[in-house]
Amino acid sequence: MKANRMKHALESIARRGVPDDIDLRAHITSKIERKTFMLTLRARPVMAVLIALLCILLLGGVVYALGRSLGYIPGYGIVEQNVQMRILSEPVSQTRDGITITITEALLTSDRLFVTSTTENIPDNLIVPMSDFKTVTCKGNWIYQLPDGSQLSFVALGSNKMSTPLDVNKVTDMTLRIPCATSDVPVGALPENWEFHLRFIPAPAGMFEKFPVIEYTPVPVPTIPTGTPAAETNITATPALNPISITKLIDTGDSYILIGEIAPQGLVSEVPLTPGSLYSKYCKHGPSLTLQDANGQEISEESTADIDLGTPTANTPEAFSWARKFKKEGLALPLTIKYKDEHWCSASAGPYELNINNNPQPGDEWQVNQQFDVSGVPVTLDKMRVIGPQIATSGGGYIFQLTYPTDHGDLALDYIAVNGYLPINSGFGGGGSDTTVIPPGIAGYDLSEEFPVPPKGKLMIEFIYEVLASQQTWSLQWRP
Amino acid sequence: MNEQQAIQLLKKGDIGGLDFLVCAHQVKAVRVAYLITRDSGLAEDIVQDAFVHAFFAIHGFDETRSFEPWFLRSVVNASVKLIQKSARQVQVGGDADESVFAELVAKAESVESQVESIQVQHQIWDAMQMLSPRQRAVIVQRYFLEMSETEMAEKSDTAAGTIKWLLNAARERLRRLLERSER
Repeated sequence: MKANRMKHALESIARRGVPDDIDLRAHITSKIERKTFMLTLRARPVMAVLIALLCILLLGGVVYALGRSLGYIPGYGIVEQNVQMRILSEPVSQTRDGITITITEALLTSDRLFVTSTTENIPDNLIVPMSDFKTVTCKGNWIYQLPDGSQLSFVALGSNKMSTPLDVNKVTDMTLRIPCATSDVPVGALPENWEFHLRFIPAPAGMFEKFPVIEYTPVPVPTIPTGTPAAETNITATPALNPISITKLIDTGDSYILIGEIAPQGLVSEVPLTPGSLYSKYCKHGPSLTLQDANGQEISEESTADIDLGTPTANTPEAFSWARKFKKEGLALPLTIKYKDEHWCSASAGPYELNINNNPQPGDEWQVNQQFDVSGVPVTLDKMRVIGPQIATSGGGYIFQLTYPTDHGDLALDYIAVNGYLPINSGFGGGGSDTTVIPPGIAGYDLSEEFPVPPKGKLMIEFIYEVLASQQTWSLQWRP
Repeated sequence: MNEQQAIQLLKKGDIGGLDFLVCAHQVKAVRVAYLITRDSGLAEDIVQDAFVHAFFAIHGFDETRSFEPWFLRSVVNASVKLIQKSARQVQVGGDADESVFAELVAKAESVESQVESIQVQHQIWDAMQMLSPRQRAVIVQRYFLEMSETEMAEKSDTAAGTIKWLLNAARERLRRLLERSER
């Protein structure tokens, strides 16, 4: 089956890009806490502005190398230069019911544990298809236990960084418990609860080549960005501080690795349209980062998956860390690090009047052919369809089938707000209908909205869409 | 704890329920977002935000239904929306030519050699970059999540004809791009 092969191709791609052992729990909890905090701040906008300005001011400073001495081990990441290291004395392997798990390598430092393993002979026919939402697959975290019974804990499941440092010289043995050979098969389908005894010995001197890491404080440089704020904006003026900073440099001989942070500026906001509304008006950043050589050519990058970026030091809501590795050979210096920051904000068009039959029934469909001006784009509501409840608290709703010409630019339509009604569920699709194909030059957009009680009769509606409030490109030149 | 219990906990405002849901669904969700956005960091952000959204919107969820389709739908939508902001692409249309597309897809798991398989995967990956975010999403839903066109239409509250058209347009564009990459 060809579709199945495509699935395997996509799964292979996805597996390469996203490992099995990611753990987002800490980030999600922190975002929920932050969101609760931001909700408090929204009630006091002046305080929010002050906090933002304070964060920016604190970032100012002169570049200087920090006193710490770090080293980079390719494939393992950044460690202290004089770190004590232990390695697995020899690979350990077990085979049960034809399934073999081998712990091939391990490297232990005072605050990190790197383990590589292989699992072989998982039968294809046991792998649960991604579309199977019902089968419960085998899940469970790997547990590392020391002889005294204590377990290693990590800052996050996917991380190799431990929460509590160890005296590495005292660790000679460890028990590794693996609950599932793979998380892709049903519970009980394969042998579970594997146990391995890992024996650690001191790493021979010179076994791992460590490249020095030059550390810097974040470097916000006063710079004038290029680009123009769009006319329709409600964001604060951008201070002339460059949000790009470089925090670390590694020279591996044939390559450079640059590590840094971006601290997007301009307040991010999200305000419910009305209290309790599913919809909100917001401003968000759309960031992108590229490296160009002295000839303006974009530099091809290599994987930096072994670099643990950690948490950015910049205390701004959307700050993020970055790392780029690139070959020295043929590199035309200086490099230009370009950061394009698009700030998207909600805007509304209307209110417009829309009449709906007083007794709509699920499945009812009718032509509307009403045109609305949305930011200068003539948007036509071609058709409406009544849908039944899709979720528990819904009383049903509508699908709005919209089209608009693309020669006005791509309209980023978000949703339709019906005055006096709070939607509780929504979705969107590609536009068009069962019988017609959207002609070239026309874009289609199907929007579904559900309400506890669907609106009907004479309604006032607003089109909520996104506008590019500002688009600025910052750049920072770098040479070793 | 099972999924229903986790959702019931969340509905009571107990964040403990989220732990179970995140562990159970994060990897697949991030992979879905990654295939659409092509950026693992962004994909993780999207899924984090989707869980945050789910936390605040869980009261509207019918706990007798499976959490995953509801959640993945929001991940797909958020991925498309976010990537649309950074890549302002216009949909492309065209007649479907499934035979040529299928031939290229068949290569994806060719037994000829692992190298060729990886090369074809690279071609598909590169070609997907050129699709519009919405087209990328339908390819992911159809082939990665193995949803039928009818399911896709139901889950997105979109007419089946629309999904068929989008899928055909995506296949056609992917086919052209793959052809070009082979030259």
